[in-house]
Amino acid sequence: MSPASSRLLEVENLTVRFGSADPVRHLSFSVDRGETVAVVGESGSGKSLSALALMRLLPRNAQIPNGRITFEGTDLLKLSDRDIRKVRGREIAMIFQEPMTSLNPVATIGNQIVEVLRLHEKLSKKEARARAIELLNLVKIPDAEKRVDDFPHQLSGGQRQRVMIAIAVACKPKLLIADEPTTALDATIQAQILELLDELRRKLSMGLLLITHDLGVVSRWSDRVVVMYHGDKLEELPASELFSPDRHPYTRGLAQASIRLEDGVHYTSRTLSEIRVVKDANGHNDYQIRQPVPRDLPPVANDDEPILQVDGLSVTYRTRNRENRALDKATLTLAKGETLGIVGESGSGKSTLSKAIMRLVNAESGSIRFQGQEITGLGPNQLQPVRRDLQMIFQDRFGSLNPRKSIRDILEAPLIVHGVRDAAERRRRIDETFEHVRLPLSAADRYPHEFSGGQRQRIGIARALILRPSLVICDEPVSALDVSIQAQILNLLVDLKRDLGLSYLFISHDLAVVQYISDRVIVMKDSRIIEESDHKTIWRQPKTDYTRALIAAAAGGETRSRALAS
Amino acid sequence: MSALLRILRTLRRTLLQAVPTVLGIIILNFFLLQLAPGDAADVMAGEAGSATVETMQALRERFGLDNPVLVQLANYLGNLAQFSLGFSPRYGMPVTELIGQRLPGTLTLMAMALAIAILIGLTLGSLMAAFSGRLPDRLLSIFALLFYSVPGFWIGLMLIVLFSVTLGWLPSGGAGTIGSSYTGFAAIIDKARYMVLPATSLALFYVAIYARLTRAAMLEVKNQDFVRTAYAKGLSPAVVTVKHVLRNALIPITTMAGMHVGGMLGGAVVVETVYSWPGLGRLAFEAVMGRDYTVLLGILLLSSILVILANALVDIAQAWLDPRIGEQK
Repeated sequence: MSPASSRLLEVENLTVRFGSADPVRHLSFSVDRGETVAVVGESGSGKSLSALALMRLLPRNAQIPNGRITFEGTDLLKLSDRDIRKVRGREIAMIFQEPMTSLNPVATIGNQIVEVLRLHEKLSKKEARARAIELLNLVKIPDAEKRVDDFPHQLSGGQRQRVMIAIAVACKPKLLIADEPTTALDATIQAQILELLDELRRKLSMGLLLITHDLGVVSRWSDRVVVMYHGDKLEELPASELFSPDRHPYTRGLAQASIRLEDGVHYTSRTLSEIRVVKDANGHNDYQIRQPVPRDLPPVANDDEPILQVDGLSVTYRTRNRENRALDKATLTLAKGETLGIVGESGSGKSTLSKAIMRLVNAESGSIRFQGQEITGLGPNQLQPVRRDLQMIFQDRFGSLNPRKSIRDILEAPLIVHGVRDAAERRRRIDETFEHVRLPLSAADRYPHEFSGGQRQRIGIARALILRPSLVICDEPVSALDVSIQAQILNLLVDLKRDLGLSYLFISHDLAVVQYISDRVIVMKDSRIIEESDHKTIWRQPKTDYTRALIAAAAGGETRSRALAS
Repeated sequence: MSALLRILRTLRRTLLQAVPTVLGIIILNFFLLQLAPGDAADVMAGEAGSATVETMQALRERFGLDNPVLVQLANYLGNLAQFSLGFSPRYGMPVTELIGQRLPGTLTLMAMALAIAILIGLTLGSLMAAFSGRLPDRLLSIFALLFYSVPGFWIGLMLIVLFSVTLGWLPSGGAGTIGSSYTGFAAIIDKARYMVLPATSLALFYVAIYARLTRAAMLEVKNQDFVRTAYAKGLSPAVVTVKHVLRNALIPITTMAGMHVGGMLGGAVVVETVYSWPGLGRLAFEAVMGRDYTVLLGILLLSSILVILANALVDIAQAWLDPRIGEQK
């Protein structure tokens, strides 16, 4: 077999160096024509840097001390700056994770497509514009003739990613690199974008290099998988074997830690596996999988009065000349010790619901009864004692901790506000909470930036728990975390629920996570609660088309593996 | 939505806001000036060497200075309603005419200075951003700091010493060769020769500001995701800088430029004095010294309108630069 016939890209022994650190070490893999290869890893694995290295788009302070990137017989690393520019956008194209910021905000989407066409294909303005409209049709932007003159801010996130794809495939590249193309998008949009990429790959017979952290995406959409951890390639395997038991321990750990909707795992039946990476005596990484022993949970007490009862709650945001009903007559109850999952896509009103329950936004009508007390009409002073029992965990692990305060200050503030005057008592409570969220006591005097994402989320949980609340609202608590960290945090939440007798309102766009952690589930769409069911029924017998569509999108892409099988 | 519509909508909003702003400025200025001791009659009498109480009284009566303050304000507003800025007791001519003589001089000076400042500032700033952290950036930063911290009048004097006294290339003051009969192109050249030094000394401070601002704005834009997209398309660094980085970086720079128009009017007083340039700045200074409040009010009114106009221009420029501005919300 001659190399030109099927081999498109061959990466050999690639190392990326920043100063004295090598975030990518001796990476080798290949992509054949028309093949989809996935590079999987968690943050810090070096997967995105490897992708940028292929296009020679690394930051200026990065070096490539050794390695070869052979694309159709040419070593890309040896090309002059002028020659590599002829490869970029024409032979190899790339789409990025953040569709919201990856397009120039001051240029029309049409012009951004035209730019690449005029650069590589020397088309006239008129021809390029006609091609741009064709491309917008190809990526299924409705009304392409009109939308071609729109600016990026007039498009939704999914549409912007479609435009990015249109730019990328404009010159019919032989290789398309997609760096986390759907991470920032809603589940239903995610499936559509991946489907589109796959369709284009077939139509244009491109090689597709898919960079992702999402094992679900990998197993559904790729042929081969390269698993990376901390700059090292651990193994390469066919995608179909990703979930088989005889893999590298880290791959196995990732597979077990990631929750897939179709597996139907629930926190009452088993805990999630956690991956531990320890350096052994020779400085090699040793990968261990630990599955915490499940412990019995007290049954949800259904006979007691519910801890939270929301009735016909509506919230309307008003601007000068427009009003937007963000929450429409929401009704729900939450029993003591229960976890209520709330699923919905962006804009469905789930965050507004949580803010309204926290009384962070004012309700227009309806009532909220918390621990038997009506809290809708309470003023700020009367709310103070209620707030102690009602706490919140946020998604944003960078933004929700004040960077100039030590962890101790952050945790002490709520204690002081709620009248714990004795310094020794405050210290005792902080130590105790640290133990609960499994943070070392030495962490107290450090600052937020010194912690990893997972640790910061633990700090966020500690802050919520320090007042010993009875109800915790978790707003997307794990959606910004890596799979292995997500598993740890979810296990922690389950443990805390048992140890401290908590009830959770758990908001997430990730159906698999909600399925795992919830006792009951609510589905929201367009500011309304459209469906409510217990955690088993809702996945097996969804009542509404929308829920069915959500489930299909999350488990969805299976169509491909099924199509391949038949 | 078309760019034109967006711009028109922005303009309408700006104009509607301008009316109460101008009215507020007039009234506030009027009362502020009443707080200063003395009036035009005092100064004129003082300069004449002697005056009887009756002459003073007659002077005040003639210019309406003996009326109660509120009546004077009402009279002034009445005049304004007829598009008249009143009559200057000191110069013995209508204020409108007086300002009309001086306005073009100051406007050309300011426009020239602003153009120099933005042009050179953008160029230097882009260079600094392109070489950030390396030698050219460091050197230019030192120059920027120097121009930023040295007062304008000193630069003005030093430019005169160098270019007029030592080298003899350019005139040291005035607005044109007296008694010359240049026409057409030669007249423009003559004017320009007189304008180079004052415009430059007025501009240097702003060159420093724009250079540093451009550098910061461009470095920020350079790190944005869409710039990486542009490189991934295969565009050359020059094209990426001009087409993707600069245009986005211009948005904060235009905001600052608009705010500087007011500051430049203040700077013009100093520069016009140093170069004996017959402009509004010097007229304002003389009006203060002569307690000629009618002239001063006229100048203040005009300056505020200038500033508002400049801001309207900035709004339009921004609506043109940034499609997200002026959208119907």
